[in-house]
Amino acid sequence: MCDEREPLLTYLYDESDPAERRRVEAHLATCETCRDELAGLRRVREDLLAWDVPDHGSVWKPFTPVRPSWSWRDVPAWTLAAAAAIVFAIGAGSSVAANAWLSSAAPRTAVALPSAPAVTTPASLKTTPAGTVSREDLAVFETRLLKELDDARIGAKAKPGITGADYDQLLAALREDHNALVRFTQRVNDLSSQVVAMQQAQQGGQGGR
Amino acid sequence: MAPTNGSDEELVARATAGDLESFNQLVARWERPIYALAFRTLGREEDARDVVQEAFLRAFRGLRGFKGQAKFSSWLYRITLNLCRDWIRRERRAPIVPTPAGTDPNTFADEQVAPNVSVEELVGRRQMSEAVAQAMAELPDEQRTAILLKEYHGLTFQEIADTLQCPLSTVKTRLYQGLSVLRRRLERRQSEQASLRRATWEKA
Repeated sequence: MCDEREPLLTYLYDESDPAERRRVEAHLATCETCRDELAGLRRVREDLLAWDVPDHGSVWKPFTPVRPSWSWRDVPAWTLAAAAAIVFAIGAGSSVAANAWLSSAAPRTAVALPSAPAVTTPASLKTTPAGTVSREDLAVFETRLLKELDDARIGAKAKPGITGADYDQLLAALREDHNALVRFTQRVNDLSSQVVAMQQAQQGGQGGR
Repeated sequence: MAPTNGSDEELVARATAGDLESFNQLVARWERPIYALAFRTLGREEDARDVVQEAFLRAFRGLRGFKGQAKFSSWLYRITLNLCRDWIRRERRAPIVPTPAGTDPNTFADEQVAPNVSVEELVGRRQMSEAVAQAMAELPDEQRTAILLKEYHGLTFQEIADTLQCPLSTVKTRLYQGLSVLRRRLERRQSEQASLRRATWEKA
């Protein structure tokens, strides 16, 4: 055993299984070299205890939980536009009227937004951290969209080339795609929470330096 | 801060689901050991603080990727050790031996001491702490890391192997080699001090 160091080390740290422990102890009883070796290792372990770590305060700036509720008014414009985009993309196809409405309501809408990777850190979120979206929020949001569509419909009568039927189609699509809207809004909410957490994380990172 | 409850794994699950307070609790639970590991690896408080902060931020960002195949603590130790290794590489130098505090008894004035501990004992302990730090700093990184995880964090051989992602036998070899080197250095120091004391005593 004198040339096998593993059993002695395992014994030193009290991790031997019972059979090995007995074997090591039997050997130690007869071998002075290994007894000295073990005693030396135990002394080192005691010496190591002297190494202090200086006291220190916490370096962590705790994350503060995200605000529990918000109003849809806090939703940044891009969210609104993106929600509109998904509704139109799913429901209304490439209706000329839809595009016309969309381009006036949300000129910089990225239709690819709902697939998410493009959503990184919208600047508007820095000032309006979002929390959870409640059913009420969604209802208000949807009512507002419907009203805006309705208003647009009335206005459209005065515009050449856009018929009320286009808007009827859009309204129907909007209602059908309520679930899509719910899913999308939840996705936005999820992303917003992540962004807020990341911002807090970054602020925490800068604060401690 | 709210009382800490639940296992690490439960807190990890809640934090992954977006509960930031659970992550704060994980930090509160692990900050001291992680700081100690970073400090003993790098030797400087300022660097250890930076590493601790970065380690928790990385852990937070990586929570979704943490599949629970290892203990949370092992994963956290690994993140910390990787950051320390990067730091050492970047600085292109060996870990720093903490600045000697000297032997002026006045420097201990604000130290928490049991009433029956004499200044001589305190000086001795401080010197021993420095001697250990010095000897550890001179070890190869792998040996030092194995000893840190074993002696100061109480990991089992298997947990160290998981943390360092190396075979069990490698862990034991590194540990044994490291301890043997430390033993020689510390014993030599003790005999040097003994002869120094003898010389001083003979002169007097």
